[in-house]
Amino acid sequence: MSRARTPQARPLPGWLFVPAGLALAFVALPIAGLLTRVPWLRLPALLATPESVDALALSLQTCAASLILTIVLGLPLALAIARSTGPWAAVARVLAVLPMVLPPVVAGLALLVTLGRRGLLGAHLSAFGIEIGFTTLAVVIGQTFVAMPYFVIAVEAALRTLDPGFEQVAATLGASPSRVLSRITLPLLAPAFVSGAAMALARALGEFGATLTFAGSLQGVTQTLPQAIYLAREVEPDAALALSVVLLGLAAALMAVSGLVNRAASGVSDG
Amino acid sequence: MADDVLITAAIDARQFDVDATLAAGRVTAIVGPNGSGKSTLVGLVSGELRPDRGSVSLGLRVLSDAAAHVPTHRRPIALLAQRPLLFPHLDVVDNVAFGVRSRGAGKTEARERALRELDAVGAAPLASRRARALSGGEAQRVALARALATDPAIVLLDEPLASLDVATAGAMRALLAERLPACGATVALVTHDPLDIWTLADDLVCLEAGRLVESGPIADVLARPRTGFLADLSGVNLLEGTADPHDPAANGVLVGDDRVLGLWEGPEDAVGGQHVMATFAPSAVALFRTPPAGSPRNTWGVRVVDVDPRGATVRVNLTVANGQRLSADLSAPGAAALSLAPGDQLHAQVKATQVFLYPRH
Repeated sequence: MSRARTPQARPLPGWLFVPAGLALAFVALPIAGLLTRVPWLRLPALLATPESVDALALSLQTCAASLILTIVLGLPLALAIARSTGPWAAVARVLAVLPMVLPPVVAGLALLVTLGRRGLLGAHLSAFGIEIGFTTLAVVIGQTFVAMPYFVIAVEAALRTLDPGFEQVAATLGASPSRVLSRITLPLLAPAFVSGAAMALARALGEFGATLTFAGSLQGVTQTLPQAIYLAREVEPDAALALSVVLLGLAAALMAVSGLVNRAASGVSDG
Repeated sequence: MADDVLITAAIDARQFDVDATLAAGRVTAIVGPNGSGKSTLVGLVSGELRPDRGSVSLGLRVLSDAAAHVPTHRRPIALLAQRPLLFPHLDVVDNVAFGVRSRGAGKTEARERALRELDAVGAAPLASRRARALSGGEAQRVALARALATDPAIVLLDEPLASLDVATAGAMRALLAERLPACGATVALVTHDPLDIWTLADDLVCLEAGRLVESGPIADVLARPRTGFLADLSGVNLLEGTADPHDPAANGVLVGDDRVLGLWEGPEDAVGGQHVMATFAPSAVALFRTPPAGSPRNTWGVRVVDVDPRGATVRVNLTVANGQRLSADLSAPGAAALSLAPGDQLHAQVKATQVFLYPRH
């Protein structure tokens, strides 16, 4: 009942490891290739250039902001759509994850024609002197737009598999819906929360297309790491490789965190 | 301090329409076949469900009716279900203190209350353990402490022993027998186990297909069962028939073409044609291959449905001519001598002094 079960490993047919190995090599080889070309000795110097420092700082700042936005808006959204039924909930569920499969350039265009200077909302904001397009704020909005679905989908999936008995028993113990949410539901969701946030942050760090379309690529203002890499690629390939290593390291670290949290949590799931 | 819980409620989608009372400060067993509405009854009291018509109230306080619905967390209730459902991210003492804190107590006060309650269920040494490090029996003890720590006016026990093994269930049953009367609450106990009923409950409410079919003190209801379900629960045979139109006192009850004689227990004399129940213990039934010699009275033709060995005795399930079921408990050697097989035609005999006759309501 309350003890974690150790799943019995089921034997797989031996031939299956051939395509499995190919798949792993398919992913691992390009990464290895990248790592062999990195000018490791010049790495500190390449990362210390003003362009690199600006891009790195901007990426970290905007990603931190978009992560906060993702959690503040995405958590209520995940809760609401996980607990709602009916056709509107189904529509909301599709909308909520749509940016995940939308081509980033389309996402950027959509943001531009909505929030840009002549956009649907942007035109009205412009009248009040508020400009969003091609500002740092646009970068944050673009990153949040594409990254939030990763967080929402992780939290929503965890909510759906959460044993409703915990919340029910908490209510019989006198806990108001807010107290049930903060003391029971959210702590039980913590693993999904962390891994969802890690996925969203990784996605925001790598965001390129939507940002370029909606925010441009102005050094120190809208030029994030991926854009700096893209621009440096022809002019100074070594700088591009150096910045790539930074992104690769960050992404790998985030996935490792997500994996560790899920592994630690797999024993918590039943009561 | 305790109050009656009055449920007069209908839920159309569940074809549930019941008028039942849980008497103040007593333990009422809620029994019935699967799907009879036991969980619906619990859901109505807990606030999980709201009646389409009627009301649920605690004494004079209305919990649910057409105009109002007190949400679960504002009801003075506690629920102990089949699974302990301890919060896995909290340790044992914080689990028990959770309800006390939720109802407004300070941190220290809640902790003290939790420790007292843990002590009362014999789980004090577990206080600092993580909830998920407990065994099933330990977890259910802690869950009971958590439920009772809030001093609920109503305690809902939804098959609290069903997922425990026999030995653990026995210890938990003894604990419930000790703690439930002490807590002073009005208790509803959903169960399938006659042992739970006899050990823990004072009254019984029996539901079938979303309707109340019987209620009253345990001894009354189970000694003279009026439905097949209750007869099974109390382990007796039940045959239903009509009083003989000519001199019912002497001629007994007609079950199809069979005549059942017994001791009349009705408050008034039997009236011919009246609907009458006859009960007798399976151990009172004797089986014969050939019609028994001597008195032909209370001997009926029966057909063997199946044979169920139970250690030293053998339970033989039978049907009488009009299809009603009965069982006979034979000694293993006695059963072996008869070499029974499903489909065999036999003669069953019961002494009239071991049969009790009483009217259906």
